[in-house]
Amino acid sequence: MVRWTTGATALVYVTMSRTSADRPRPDYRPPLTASNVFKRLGYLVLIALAAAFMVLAKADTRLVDGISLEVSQVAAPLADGLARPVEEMVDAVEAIRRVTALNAENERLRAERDQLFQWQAVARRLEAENTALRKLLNAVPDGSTLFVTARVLADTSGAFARSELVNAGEEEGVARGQTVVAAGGLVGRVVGVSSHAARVLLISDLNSRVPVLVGTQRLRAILAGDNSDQPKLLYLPPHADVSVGDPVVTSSEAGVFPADIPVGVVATADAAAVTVSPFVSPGGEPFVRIIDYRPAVLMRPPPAADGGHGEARPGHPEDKERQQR
Amino acid sequence: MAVALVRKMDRATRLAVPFATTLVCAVLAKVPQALPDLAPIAPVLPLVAVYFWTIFQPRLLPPVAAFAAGLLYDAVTGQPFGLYAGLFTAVHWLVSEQHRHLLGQTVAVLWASFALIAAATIGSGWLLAAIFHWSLADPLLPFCQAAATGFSFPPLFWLLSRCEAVVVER
Repeated sequence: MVRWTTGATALVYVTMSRTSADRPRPDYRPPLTASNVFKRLGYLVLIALAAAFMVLAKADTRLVDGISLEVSQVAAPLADGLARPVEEMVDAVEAIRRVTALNAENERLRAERDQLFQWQAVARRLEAENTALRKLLNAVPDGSTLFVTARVLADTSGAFARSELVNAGEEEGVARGQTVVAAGGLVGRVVGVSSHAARVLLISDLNSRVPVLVGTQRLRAILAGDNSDQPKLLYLPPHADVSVGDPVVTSSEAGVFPADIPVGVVATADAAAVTVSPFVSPGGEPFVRIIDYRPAVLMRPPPAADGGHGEARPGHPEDKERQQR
Repeated sequence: MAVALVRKMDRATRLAVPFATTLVCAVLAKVPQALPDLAPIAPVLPLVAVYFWTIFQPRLLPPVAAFAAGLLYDAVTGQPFGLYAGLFTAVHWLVSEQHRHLLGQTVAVLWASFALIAAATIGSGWLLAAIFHWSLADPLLPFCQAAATGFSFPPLFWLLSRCEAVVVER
């Protein structure tokens, strides 16, 4: 007999002594009474209801996502309270780790800064060249982007799904399909919205598909999540020359994502699969930005040449809705 | 008059302990946010609570309560809505059918049978999620999650036993 703790064992013995007198013999079979039949029927009804929820979630994702988000939102304050001590503990451990690694980090940052100065010079030169070439070609500027910054309430990732809950919803102008980015790069897309919260499907989720451009040749591909930390690249051109370390950025081709948001770098490139190491690790960012991206072709009239953030878009259906509110 | 009211409230609070602790276990699934690497293999704590209360206080945790806790867990963890609601109800059914065999067993036997139930539940969850998404997820994660759930049994059993003492003794 295994003894765990005296308390637990004692309680089991208490339970035994309390219940053993009422306990029926092992060979006892309860009679098939009406109440037993109803009880079993109740179980079947509940299981059927759960199955119905799952089927409904597949058929009408908005409705079930809405219910799921509302339930989740109710639990949010309690969850925050419970998570706080754990967060404090992790922060304390992280602070100690940082202090011990301060010297080495300083050296690394100095080297990185020197390298970044060089890149800055290159970037300035390219920016000037870009502006000059755009003027020369009379190019249409990229679509307008409005954004909302939101706090990540919870990383709701499980074994079968990768998503995050953020504290901005319909009231703040968040809508399904909007792009979510963090300081490092792309985080995912909004898949469910309630009044003050939204669920973000991370790029590592099984259901995530993101059109991307790979490497300096800007090869078109689809970044497909597989619930691992390194999503795969699908539909690369045959015999594509992809090597480890190639940058991966979003493509605006389908009109869903703004162009050139950094996604990650190619982590492995072999015959079996090309995987990408994302810049943003799931759950690693406390704040995210939700981008309301509209391709330039949808706007009437075309925006000002400065790419104007937040300008009015006469005739745009969502603007009309906002004005009515 | 006031004493009677306080007694009534006290009784109601005590009777709510099983359901409340199961709900808290479901909400606790949000806590691994602070440890992002562990989120996918966080133990399914409400499963322990459903198992425990179905054995020791089945009347205070009816199947509907297990179903509701499952819905909350699905919402909190972003699983397909209804997945764990159905699984918790099935576990409630299974345990209540085996109630007379489990009641009065030692902790080791209860732990062993829980480990089997946890493995079967999380394995079924993985299979159902695979059918739902029509794509097979990495089987290592549910395996680790089942192991984590199994190892979470002793401490949680101890805590729930303390809660049960509150429900029963007064």
